[in-house]
Amino acid sequence: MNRTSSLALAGSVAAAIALLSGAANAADMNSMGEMEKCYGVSLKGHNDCKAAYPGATCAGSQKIDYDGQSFKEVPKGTCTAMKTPHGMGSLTPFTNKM
Amino acid sequence: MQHAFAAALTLKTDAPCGVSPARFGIYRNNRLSALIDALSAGFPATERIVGEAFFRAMAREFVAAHPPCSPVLMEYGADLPAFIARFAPLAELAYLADVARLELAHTRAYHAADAPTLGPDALMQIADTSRLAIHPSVSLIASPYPIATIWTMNTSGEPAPIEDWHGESVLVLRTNMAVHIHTLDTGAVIFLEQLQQGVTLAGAAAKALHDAQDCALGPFLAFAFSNGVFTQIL
Repeated sequence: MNRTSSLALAGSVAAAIALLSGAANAADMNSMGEMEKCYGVSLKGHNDCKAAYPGATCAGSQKIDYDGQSFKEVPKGTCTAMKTPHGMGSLTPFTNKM
Repeated sequence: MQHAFAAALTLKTDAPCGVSPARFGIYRNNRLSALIDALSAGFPATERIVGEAFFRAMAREFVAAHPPCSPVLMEYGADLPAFIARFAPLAELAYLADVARLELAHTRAYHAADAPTLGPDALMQIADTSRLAIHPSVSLIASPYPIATIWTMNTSGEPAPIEDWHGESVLVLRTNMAVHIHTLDTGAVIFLEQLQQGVTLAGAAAKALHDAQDCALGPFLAFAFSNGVFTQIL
């Protein structure tokens, strides 16, 4: 039984359900939550964690912009498309170019 | 002694009696730079827009006018957007206060409490008279300036001329342990504001469709129920 009889709401809810029930959309939704570690894209202080520095703590401790040793969690598939002044994001840590 | 110490910290008086002025100076300077660093960490886009030198000078003025009320540094800076709005040297950057508001909401969303969220299944259970509880991390910032575009350019992108200068309303939300921002259309903003005020779904939808032109709430509902905007049907 349809519990939303208000015209404005019922149409919107129906539209939302239609949007969410498509198979392609369901796949999008599942991948939406997936994240990957992306190195070399975060600004100083905005990394999610640090990779390789000895004695490093974690999130927010990055000292330089676009540090190749620090990563940011980004939606899966977007990392290598991120453009920084030093090139694209990387899925693995790398040594900073001077 | 404590009052004298606190007054001296804010540069109003000399070091209190019995304290070495040189050592007190080091402490006072460390406190100031720690507070400025906290602001810099909390408002990175704002800092990038005005530049580090300007930001730190402004932060110094802010610290003098608004000493922290809490020992928790992550809460420091709640008054900075309002301070920026009144700060005469920034009069030409009218959008900056709203960008700072967005950054404040971002920090708050990051630290907000967890709550179980409603998934797409809940769309089947809502009724006209339902009210929805909104996730603690949610903030809504409606601005006459393109603050989402400006913020994005100054955090993860490169600043560039904005050709289509228009107002943006931003939903700040933590989903899957990460804070995200989303721009909303006018109808969705009205709808969400109504729900925040405890209006029923039917009432909120009616107002949104009445006040906003060409408004379709379907996409917003689909987004909201798959990203954890709502926590409970009341």
